[in-house]
Amino acid sequence: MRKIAIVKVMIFFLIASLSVNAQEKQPVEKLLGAEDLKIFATNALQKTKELTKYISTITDKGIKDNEIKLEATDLAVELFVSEDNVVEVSNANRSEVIGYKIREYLNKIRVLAFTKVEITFYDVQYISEFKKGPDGKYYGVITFFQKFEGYKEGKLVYKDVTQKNIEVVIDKVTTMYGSKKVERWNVLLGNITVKETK
Amino acid sequence: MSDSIKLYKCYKGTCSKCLNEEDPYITEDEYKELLDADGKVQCPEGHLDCGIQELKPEDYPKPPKDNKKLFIIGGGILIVVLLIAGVVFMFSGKSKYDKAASSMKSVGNAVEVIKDSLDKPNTPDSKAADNNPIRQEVASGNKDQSMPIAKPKVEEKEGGIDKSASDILTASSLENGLQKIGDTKYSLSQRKALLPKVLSKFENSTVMVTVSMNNNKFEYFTVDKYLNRILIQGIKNISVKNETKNNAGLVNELSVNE
Repeated sequence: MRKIAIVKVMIFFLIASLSVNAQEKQPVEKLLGAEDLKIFATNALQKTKELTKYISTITDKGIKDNEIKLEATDLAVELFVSEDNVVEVSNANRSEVIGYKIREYLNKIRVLAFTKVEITFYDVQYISEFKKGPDGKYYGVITFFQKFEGYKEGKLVYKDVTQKNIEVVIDKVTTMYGSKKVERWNVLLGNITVKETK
Repeated sequence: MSDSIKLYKCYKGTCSKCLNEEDPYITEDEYKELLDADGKVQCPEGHLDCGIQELKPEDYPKPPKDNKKLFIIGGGILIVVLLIAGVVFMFSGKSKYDKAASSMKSVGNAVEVIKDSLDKPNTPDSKAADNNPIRQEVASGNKDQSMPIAKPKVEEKEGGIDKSASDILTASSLENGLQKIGDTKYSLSQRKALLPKVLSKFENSTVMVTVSMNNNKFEYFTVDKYLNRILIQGIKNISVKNETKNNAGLVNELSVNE
């Protein structure tokens, strides 16, 4: 009788420990449902808009605190899949399109030779739904328009409007936050390409 | 004025020399030079009937008042009076002082209570005040639309006199602190100055913050990154969903909704 009680207690602790272990690991789903994709789609739009806000901060000549601009640069880079992601840059005065790595691009626009820079982003929207790739990740494309105005001594000296596309990737990521390990699906930005410049 | 010095003046209205207002007097030496061998005055103007006479005692010029001396003496007396009044106030009027201090404290507390009530989230006013186009778009689940990106506001010049500087440092709760960091009614430098104060409520700078939007998980950040994000993005509509603390009362996990 006593042996049976001991075995029962052991089984209880075994099941309990397995249950706790399972909760800690929380394996991410292999496939995302339609509802999940909808949430990620909203999150990707939000991240695109956060990127535009960081760019506005980085280029704002009224902000003299360089530390804030560098922090905005770091936060903007973290929105991307990796530092190797490329941003294409065009110019209304030339047909050539040049690609810069994301951090290099952000550093370039921080020190543009204008006394005032105004970058406005509008019509941020999806042009393609998320589709599952052969690597298990989900891919979509967001488009937006960027109006760039550069001033010198109060005079507008350069202006263009560019339509740009951003690749959006939903990927499984594992991140350590202090001692906490988090494995989850995350939506990240990819390469930014120039569609058209006027 | 010494008796050995005599002054003279012409009493004739036509004498231009002696009508000189700046220096109408003739000294004794000058007068002696005007006397001829007979002791008669030779009028410097050539008048036949010279009007130069020795001044009567009542006509002697009065010495100018020494205003500087008066000012110093007066100032000295005033300082002494003020010092005495101060000593009397300190020793005999202590109860009045305490009363005044107590009144000031009460007013301060009342202001603090009103301020906190105004800062509370989720009130109809605070919801109405949320004009952030990004948040509105996401909340409505929208898929399109134009999005003018507002530049972060910098209303107050750095280094200038700034009444709200003391206000922002009174961030009492964690939620209140987070909201103030993202509140663009304060200048960027003011909000940045609040970061260490809010960060000190956490166990360390790598504490995880889970951010949800409309109660859907959005992103995870370390707390230092999260604070910089709300600072730069100007996100003020933040409510704390859950926070866990260690034995020292410092937050070691935080979930917020934006």
